[in-house]
This record gives sequence, C-alpha cells and structure tokens, in this order.
Amino acid sequence: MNELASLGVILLLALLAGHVVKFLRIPEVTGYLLAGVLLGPSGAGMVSHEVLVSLQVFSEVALGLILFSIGSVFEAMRFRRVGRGIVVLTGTESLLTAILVTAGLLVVGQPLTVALLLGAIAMGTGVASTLMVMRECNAAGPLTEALGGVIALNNIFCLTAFLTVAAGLDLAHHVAETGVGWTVIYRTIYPVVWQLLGSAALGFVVGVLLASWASKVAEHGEMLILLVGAILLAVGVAQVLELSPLIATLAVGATMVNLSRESRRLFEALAQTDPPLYAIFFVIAGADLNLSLLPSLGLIGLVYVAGRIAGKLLGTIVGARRAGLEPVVRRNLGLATLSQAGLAIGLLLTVDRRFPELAPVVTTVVLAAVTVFELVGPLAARFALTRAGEARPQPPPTGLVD
Amino acid sequence: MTHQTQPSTNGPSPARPSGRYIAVLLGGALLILVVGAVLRPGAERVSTVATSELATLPERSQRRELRDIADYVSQRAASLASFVVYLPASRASAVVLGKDSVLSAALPPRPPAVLVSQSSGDSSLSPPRGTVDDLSPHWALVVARAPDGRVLQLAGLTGGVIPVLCDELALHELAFGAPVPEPFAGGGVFDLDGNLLALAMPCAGHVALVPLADVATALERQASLAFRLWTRLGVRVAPIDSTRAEARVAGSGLMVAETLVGGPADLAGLWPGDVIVGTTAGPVAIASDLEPILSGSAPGRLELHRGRGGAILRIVPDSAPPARQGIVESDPRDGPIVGMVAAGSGAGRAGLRTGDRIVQIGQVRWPTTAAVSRVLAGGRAQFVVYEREGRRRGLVLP
Repeated sequence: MNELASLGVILLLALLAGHVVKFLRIPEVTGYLLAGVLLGPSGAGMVSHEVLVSLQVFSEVALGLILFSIGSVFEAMRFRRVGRGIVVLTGTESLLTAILVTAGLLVVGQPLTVALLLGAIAMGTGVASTLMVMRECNAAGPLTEALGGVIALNNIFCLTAFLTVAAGLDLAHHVAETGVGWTVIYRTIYPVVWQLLGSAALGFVVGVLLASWASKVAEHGEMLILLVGAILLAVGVAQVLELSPLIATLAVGATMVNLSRESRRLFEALAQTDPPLYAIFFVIAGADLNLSLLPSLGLIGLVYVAGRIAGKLLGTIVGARRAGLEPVVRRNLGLATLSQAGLAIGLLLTVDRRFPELAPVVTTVVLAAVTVFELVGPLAARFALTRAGEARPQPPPTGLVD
Repeated sequence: MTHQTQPSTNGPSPARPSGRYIAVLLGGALLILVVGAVLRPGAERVSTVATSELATLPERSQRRELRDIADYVSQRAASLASFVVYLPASRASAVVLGKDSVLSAALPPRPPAVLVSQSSGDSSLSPPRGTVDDLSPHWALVVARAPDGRVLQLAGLTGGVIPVLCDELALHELAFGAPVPEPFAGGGVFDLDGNLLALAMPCAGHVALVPLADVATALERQASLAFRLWTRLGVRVAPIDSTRAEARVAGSGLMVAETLVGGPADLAGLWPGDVIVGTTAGPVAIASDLEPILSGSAPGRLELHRGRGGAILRIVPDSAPPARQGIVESDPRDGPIVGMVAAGSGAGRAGLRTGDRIVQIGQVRWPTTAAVSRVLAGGRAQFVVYEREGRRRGLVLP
C-alpha cells in the first residue's frame, strides 16, 4: 500500500478504534496504539516499515505541537506558584528511577556503562500519550496540574542526565586512550551545553517570532498556519543544528505563553484542529511497536521495567511528600507517569552513534520496554486520574476550559 | 486542551516582560545559536564498524583488547581512505585507480553500472589488487566516503563468494559478515593488508560487494543485447508465442514482454503483448534485428501488431552509441599500444593516452591487437588495465 492509502487507512482505523475503545472502556490512545499494532509490520503488515518511515514527518509535527502545548506549563506566574514543588517532585522521582534502574542492572551483572545509560533513559515519561489521556479524561485538579509539570520537566532532566552520562563515558574512554586534553574536554562538554542551551535559545527565538506575529493574525486558520509553521521551523532547524527538538518546541510554548497576549487563542486554535494529527501520530507509534521484541526482553529488560516502575511509584511518593503536595498526588502520580516513548527512542539513535559497542543491549531493552510501557502506561494514567477523581468524561465544547 | 496545558490567564497579563528585556534576551539567544554553531567540533567518530563482528576479531588476531583492535581497524581504514573519493555527480564513492581515473560501481539511477570519471584524487597510487577465492574467513574493510568527505568504514569477516543476481546480471558477491548500508555504495573493499578486493555495488535492493573480476564481467554483460535493449530502449522482448492470435496474424516478430516505466519504449507507447514485426531496416525475427535502432544506423520506427490491428511507433534510444574511441598500434615486443585517442571520446575522457600499453581487457590478459582494436571501436564498455611509465593503471572504457 502506498503512503496516501496507508494514511487513509490509518485515519479510518483510528476513528474506528476511537469508537471501539469507548465500549471497552480503555483510553483512546491505547486504542490508537493497538490499531497501529494491528496495521503495522507486527500485525497484518498492511503498513510497511518504509511507509512508516515516510510518514514520520507527521509524527514530528504532532510531537512538536504536543510539546508546544506542554510548554505552556512554564507560564511564569503559575510556575512561580507551583514551580518549586514540581521541581523537587520531578527531581526526586527522576533520580530515584535512575538509581533503581542502574542499581538493578548492576546487580544482574551489566557493565556500569550500560546501567548508567539505561538509568538515564528510564527517567523520561512519554509526553504524548500521557497528555492525550489527560485530554481525553478532560482532567483537572492537583494531580493533573502536577502531572503536566512533571512530564515537561522529567524529559528535560532525562535529556540532561543522558547527555551528562554520555559525556562522562566519552571522557573516560578518551582519558584511557589518549590522556586528557583540552580538545577532549571540549568535545565532551560541548554536546551537553549545546543541546541544552542551544535548544532553549532556538525555542526562544522561534517563540518570540511566533508571539510577535500572532498579535497581527486574526483568523483561526491563519493562526494555525502560523503555529504549524513555527513548530516545523523549530523542529527542522533543531535537526539541522543537532539540537533537541524536544527542548526547542517546549521552549517555543514556554516563550509564547509568557510573551503573547494571543497565546490563549493559539492554544484554542490548536485544540480544535489537532485530533486527526494526534490520531495519525499514535497509530504510527503503534505500528512502530515491535511486539516480536517482547520475548527478547530477558532478565535485563525485566529489571529495567521493574526498576522503572518501582522508581516512578516510589519517587513520586517521596517527591510529593518532600514538596508538600496533596495526598491525592502522592498516591496517584506514579501510575500516571509510566508511559515511555518518543524521547527514549530518540536517545537510542544517539547511543547507536556514540556508543555502537553498547547499542545492541541498550536498544533491545529500551525498544522492548517501550512496547510494554506504551501499552500499559496510558491505562495506568487513566486509572490514576479516575481514582483521583479528576477525570471528567464530558469534554467542553471547545476542548479548552478554564 | 486540558487545564494544565493552557495559559491560566485570559487576556492581557500584567506580568508581561518589557520589550527591552525581550530584545536583550533575543540577542542573547541569537548569540548562543551563532557561537554554538560556529564552535561545533567536527565529527570525530564516523565509524560504523559492526561491533558484533569486531567482538570475534580477538580470536583471529594477535591483539586481545577489543579497543586495540577497533583502533587498528580504524587506522587501516583511515590509511585506505586515500584511495577512496566521493563523486558528487553520481552521488557515490569511487576507488582511485590512478592519478586521473577512479572506478565506481554505483551509478544511479540505473544500477548496476560502472563508471569512470576524471577526478583529482588525493593519491596517485592505485591500491594493489587482492583475490577473494579463499573460503576461509578473512577480515575485510569496506571503505567509502560520505558526501561531506568523511570516511565511512565497516569491518567484517568475508569468506568466498556467493552468486547474486543484480537486476539483469548474474554476478558474485563477497560473503560478508554484516549488511552493508547504502551510503557505502561505490566504496572499495580492502583486506587488512590494503589490497583492493571488491567494489560495493547497489544490487537488487542491497549493496553487494562485487569482486573486481566480476566488475569486469558486469561491464561485459552490460554490453549484451538484452541488457542494452532494457537499459537503452526500456524493453524486454521474447520470441512470440505461437498459440497467441496476435502471433498468427504477425507471422514472425518479437513479443514485448515488459517495458520499463518511463523508459523510451514506454514513452513511445509500446505495451507488453505488442508484437514488433519490423523496423525501417527490415523485418524483425530475432532480437539482433533491433540492433540498427540501438546503434543509431536506422531511425527508431517500429512496426507493430497490436491486438487485431497494427501500429507504427517512434522510439528514441536513451543515448547515442559510443563513437570510435581510438586507434591501436602494435609493438612487436610489448603488444598493443594505443596509437591515438579521439579527443572527447570515452577513452579520452577516461584518461587513456597515446603510448599507453594495454595489458588486460576484461578478464583477458595480454590481449591481441585485434581485441584492443575492437574495444576502441566502441560499443562495448570494458575494464582495461594499461601500463604507462612503468606503472599499471586500470580504467573502464565507456
């Protein structure tokens, strides 16, 4: 089947899956993902790997828009109010997850390098699927507020930790091989600083552009074109400059929400138009899941999955207590942060390029674990939101409420 | 959108930063981007060594530490990289065969083809040739260059050759321990002593490592009539099936078995099932009756039987046949010497000069003067080894 036919089938199946999941009482995102599994190489094989690769651009746009939405949690006034607590909470849960995964892998005899890389990768929570569940549940309340902040921050922490670990491993390798020199230090430190600072700077520049232009745009359609254009620009330039599209698009959202009076209109325009794009995104993500990897999970994979679940559950309990958040957050946040996808897969590419000798183990474990977490995570997130009493199934007319 | 992802204020916010503050931040951000982009360190590690393969190397080498071995392989690749260049025109790597010529086994869009092009390669030496007929495992390095000039390297075990069908060509490929990625197309395959063993050639959806001898075979096969009909006219023909009604009408002719989409035959309106019964040069009974169209000696008019009717189509071959490329002289002591090379001919462009002594054509060593003469007469692409100033070089005559 060619790209267009595949895209048509993806959209129709996503619609069908959306109806079916209502009967099965599972999250829409799980339905999309399962529809993708059915369509993709792991299932009926109607959508080939090549077509998936060529449809990747939709995923990039959708992920960029999702992260842009998430960026709005960094609104200065709100962040001043809840920011410290969220930073403490996210820091604790991320650190504990990394420690438990790393320690577990060391116990089962993995080398320190593999354990550290997997520990860092385990920190991130899947932004897209978690946000989708929050949206479907029309969730509101302290747990929802905390969850939005946590998924934005822990991906930044995850990327920072990964880059730091990678730099450390690189440095150790160079020191053992050629001795330490300025060039070596420069080459090691540069990616960390560049990816974090450069991505934020790029996002800020695009955000300022977007904010200043948005004030001159009146129509809903034009607003959407402006937004998609800005997101594509941010993602594309980030790719060219080897920056992080994730941080760049988050920064666009954060800049927009702080600088523009039009941000609310922009987010409304987005919310009204994006469902088909998200449906495509999740069906493609599902089709990319490789179920045949599951048996290869093995002991290392099980330790990774168990360590990550334990880290997230324990970390959010400890973190929420330290941050003085409500008991409802403490009890439920861990379950809501289990999803894992985009960033983890993106980091695998970096592992493959920078540490080819470690890539086989790391890639197999993470891809298999992503399959587990993407299928279980949304279910757990919805369960957590429902248990916390923050799910309100009837969506408002515009999809955006105060 | 959910609560947590929307701005909490509706309308103007009292806390918006001032324009000056934003301008300072914007300047800072732009400065970070510019400085960061300028200070980016160049790619250091571009190796795509198959590490699973490297892991087995200690058993076969004196070096025990994996890191030592990886370094050793990287150093070998770096030294061999002087024999490999990137050809922007064909978007593939090529192996330097001498000061003026390079050999590439990748010429899109219609691989496999072999190309010789002028190049200002770094090295004036061509790599020594090795053989690959040994079945016992040996380490080999595939070395190619990326468009930006970076060296790509892939190490793996090779042992003997296996038959492979590259589109129309039945060739052999080196059995290699790791799949060869597409960017390696046109690159050279070397043993760890630096001998050139094979070229990486796009072949039926993958990159095959084709031994040098087979590269020559590929050229000869490319000169075959069926191959030329496919590549230059975009048509495959077959003897007519006597049970078909069209055949009874036609009496004799050639059935169109397949046309290449977008090829000359397709553009001319030729369909599979059509029966070609004649050209302006005469009736068509066998494939060689189409030779006048390929050689350009007859206009590209085809008489057809289609269904119950007939048709006349005009077909234009993809490119003109090569003109006579040069004259050969015979030296009683040293064999055939190139007497004159036609300016602008394929031989001339390939770098053949007056006085070059031809020592090998295809797989035939010490060819006769007549054989060299036939090659220089054009029409058949050939791999040629010649001697100039006491040094042997190779090239492919287009």
